[in-house]
Amino acid sequence: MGSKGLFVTGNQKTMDSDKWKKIERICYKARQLEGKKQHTYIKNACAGDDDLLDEIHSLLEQQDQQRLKEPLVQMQSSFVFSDEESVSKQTIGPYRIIRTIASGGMGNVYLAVRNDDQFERFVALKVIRKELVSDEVLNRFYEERQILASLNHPNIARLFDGGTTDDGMPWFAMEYIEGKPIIEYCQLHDLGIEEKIDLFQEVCSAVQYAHQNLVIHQDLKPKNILISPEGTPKLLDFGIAKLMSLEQNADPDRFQNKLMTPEYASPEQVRGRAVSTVSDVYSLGVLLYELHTGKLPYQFKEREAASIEQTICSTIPPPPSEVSDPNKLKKDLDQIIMKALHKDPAERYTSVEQLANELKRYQLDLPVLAQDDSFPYRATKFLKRHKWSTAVSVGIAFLIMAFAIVTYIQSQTIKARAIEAERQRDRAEQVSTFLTDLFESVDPNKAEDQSLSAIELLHRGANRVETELKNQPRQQANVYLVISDVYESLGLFDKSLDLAQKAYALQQELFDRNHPQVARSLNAMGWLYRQKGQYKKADSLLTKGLAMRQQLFGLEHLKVARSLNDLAVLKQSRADYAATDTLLQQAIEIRKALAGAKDKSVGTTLSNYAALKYRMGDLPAAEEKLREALQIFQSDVGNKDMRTANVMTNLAAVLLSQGELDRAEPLYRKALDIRIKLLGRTHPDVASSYAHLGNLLVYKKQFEEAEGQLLRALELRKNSLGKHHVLVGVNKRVLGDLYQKMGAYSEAEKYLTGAVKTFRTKYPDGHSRTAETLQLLGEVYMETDDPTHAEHQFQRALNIRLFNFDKTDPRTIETQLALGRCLTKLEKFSEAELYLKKSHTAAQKTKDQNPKLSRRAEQALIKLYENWGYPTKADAYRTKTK
Amino acid sequence: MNSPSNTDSSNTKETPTKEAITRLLQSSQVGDKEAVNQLLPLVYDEMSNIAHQKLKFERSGHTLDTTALVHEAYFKLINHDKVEWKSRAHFLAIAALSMKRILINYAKRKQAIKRGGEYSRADIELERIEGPSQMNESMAEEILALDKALERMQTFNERGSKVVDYHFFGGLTWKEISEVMGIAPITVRRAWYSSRLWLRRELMKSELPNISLNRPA
Repeated sequence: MGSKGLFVTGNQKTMDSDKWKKIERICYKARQLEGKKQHTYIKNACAGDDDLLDEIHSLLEQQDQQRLKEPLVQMQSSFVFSDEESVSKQTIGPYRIIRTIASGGMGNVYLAVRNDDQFERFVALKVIRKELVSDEVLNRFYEERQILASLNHPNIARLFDGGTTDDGMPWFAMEYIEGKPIIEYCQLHDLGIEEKIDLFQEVCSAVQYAHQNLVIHQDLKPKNILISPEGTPKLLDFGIAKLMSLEQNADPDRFQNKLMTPEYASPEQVRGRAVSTVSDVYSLGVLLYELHTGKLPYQFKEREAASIEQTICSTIPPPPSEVSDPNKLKKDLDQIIMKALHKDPAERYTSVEQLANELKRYQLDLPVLAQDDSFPYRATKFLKRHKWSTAVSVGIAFLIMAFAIVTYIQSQTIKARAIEAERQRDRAEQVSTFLTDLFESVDPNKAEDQSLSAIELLHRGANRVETELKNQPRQQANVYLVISDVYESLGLFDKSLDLAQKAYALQQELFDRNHPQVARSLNAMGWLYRQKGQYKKADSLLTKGLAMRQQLFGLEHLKVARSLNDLAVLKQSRADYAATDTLLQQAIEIRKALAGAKDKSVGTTLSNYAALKYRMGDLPAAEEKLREALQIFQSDVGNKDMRTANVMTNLAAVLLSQGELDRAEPLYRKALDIRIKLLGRTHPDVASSYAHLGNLLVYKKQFEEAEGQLLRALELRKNSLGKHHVLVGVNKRVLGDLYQKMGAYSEAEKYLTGAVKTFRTKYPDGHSRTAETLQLLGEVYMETDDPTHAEHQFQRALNIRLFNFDKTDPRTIETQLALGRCLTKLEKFSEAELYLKKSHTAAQKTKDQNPKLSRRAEQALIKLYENWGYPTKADAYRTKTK
Repeated sequence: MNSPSNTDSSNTKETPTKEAITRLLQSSQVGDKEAVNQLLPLVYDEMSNIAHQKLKFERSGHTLDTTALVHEAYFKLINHDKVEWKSRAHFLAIAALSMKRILINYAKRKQAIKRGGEYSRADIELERIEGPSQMNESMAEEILALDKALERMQTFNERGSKVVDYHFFGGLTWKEISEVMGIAPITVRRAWYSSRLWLRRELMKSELPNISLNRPA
């Protein structure tokens, strides 16, 4: 292509953003084409603007250069942000190691991260050297892990996970905490006594919580109590110490190891005796001592086991007030700390709670329990009374652990019994009302501010009903239906259907065949199947429900009207328009008569009726019904109701069909606003609003915004409705159409093929949606110069058209025309002639409604004969056209 | 457990701004320009502080490995519990802009050193950066030329120059850029395609012998 680069300088001066936009569009499309085709395309696209033409050619010359081919900087493959390209970094379990935090005798601690699609978690990952832990101990630890993982307290670092590496090393993933050890933190911030106690109280609450869950820490020390930059204490390594100490006890040779930080160890720990919650009280006592004096109660000069044990078990440390500034510490605090540090576990505070309460009393200047002048005497006496054995008793420690697990299970059983007892009492009626009240606040039509916690509340409620109302099946079924309704309005169709089915199953046991509640369940299930796109099931259930209601309530009843309405909506989804019409008219009549002409329910059915009229092509009637409905809703509930949004959406659709794009757009946007406010951002109805708006924007040729809206809609629909839902197919078809218009043919092909697949499974007999999509797909292939594939699609489309419509339907004609042109291109001239003539004949019959169609057929015929080598025949059509 | 604790005090930053930064990041997704303007200097400072340790100029493949650098900054500045994917994309975008500034400053300093250092004394910002000795000269030249070209392009193609900033200097994916700029992925791709052609041509014009960002194998 030579040295066209020289044009550059001249053009650049005149470059502006409008011109650039043109360049962008043309270049992008041109890149998919080759050689002569590309040339022709660019020439046509530039429409005589030579500057533009040169500029584009000059730019495209740069196409094969390597420069700027890929990012200079690589961040997306960073393990923090993405796992698209799995970097060959070390992983342990599902975690990727980022860096080593520390390494020591027992193993290493790493900062690691787990990232799934939308989820990222940093952990401190501890890998323990295999040879230090026996299988037996490890297995016990794994058994207990569930309990450890269930510790959920703001001041406790969570244990997330654990396992064994490929080479057999046990690992645990714990919440990663950035912070400073408590002592260091207090010094750094120069905290006063009161502040230190406040902080310590938080630590106590965490330890206490763990104790209530039957987990003992056993290694409380400043390094395991970190204070976050926000000032929140976090306790690390709950339950893990036990694993270590057990193993070390089992091996006397490693006794030394255990005593690496003996300063916080209680006498019973040092001696390898049974540990309990009061061992943690002791360690907390040491911590409190250090916090207030800056010194440890015991200083060990020699790191020799026997002397350390001697010191811890038989030396009484100086009271804190003696080793710190005496004016600062009150004697009461001395007493508290010394009681916590008592050699005899039985003489300490019996629980962390007691210690915490004592500190609270101290802070409030109340007399403390530990106030006892004879303390030193008694302590000494105790030491004389007990001669500690130095035997290392592994068995007892194991027993304790087993006991902890058993107790845990027992406590669960007790809880279950309590629930059982409550259920015995006849309070079901209350429960039912309570739940109804509770859940009504979640219903988006009633609550303007819907929060996630409300949905959680709902899930929890549903679970509670399952257990608590077991013995009152009648009530249970009622409440299920209430919750089912709320789930449905939240767009959680599967959950909703599940509950409706549960209710129905219960009612089968309770009632005769016909019962109002059974009818209600039938209707609910039918509607939900409709929402899920399973029309056949929906039809039989709704029909059954309607018949039951008519039998129970007579023909004129509001409940019957409800069934009529619901069934009508389904019939319309199944394209049974005649049935829809009858059903809706009946419903409107009943509702107007019994609820009043201005009632919301009338509005709903009117809106549905309008949808039918729209579907049947009677746009003015549709618009009229919708305006009537909108008036009813706006005067009643204003703009804060789903139904207002629904009617607006329908009205916009009608306006769109009449070509009133600018009047339709604000209605779509307003409806979207209302839906987001009422339903949150992920509801299927919100997805529909995005899709509608996207569709409209396609018509307005605002392709970029359209793409955004449509992609958003697709993602939401896939998530909420499932990948195979009809609406996902429809959404893909619109996207395919858009991409074709944008010239992104490979994208277009992708989405259209996807849409065809969906439609073919949903409508095995063929549906005009399938045909439309196949035709679009064919056109995409034509654009990309692939008439062979195009022919196949057009053929398939035509088969469906001929099955659904008669020969003179403009849609049939369009498809025949497209197929004829395609065949011309393939040089299958006689076949092409057949289809083109058919389409021409049909088009001429309907010339009045659609004059352009017959002209287009003639042009296609002219082209055919020209290529075929029959110029006279071509001329004949030429004169016809004129 | 006697093994070392969870802390890493040497790397732990006592930063009351962490919360603030997280909050800023959250508001930046709502399109708050002010938030981005406040975030950029913070991220830049943090990244250039760690750049000399973490930024590796020996490239793996054809790209600079900035993984550790970005990660470290992210980890220090952002309260990761509270940040979801979208915010991460926004953080990456800001990191990309910071990365660009860092590289440009390196390149400038490299050239200043070459010219005799009058640059480095005057500019405190550059004084802090220790990396330029590792950056090779051709890369420095290329980066500066690219920066100039980008500036020119911005006058008529702002969107494209942003896309280049994010993708080329930050390695953001189309999806991430689409999230950050609030435009569709295909629009991002299209902008990248033509902007790249234009920039290539510009760099050809200012062609200096033997430079290429495409590193020899």
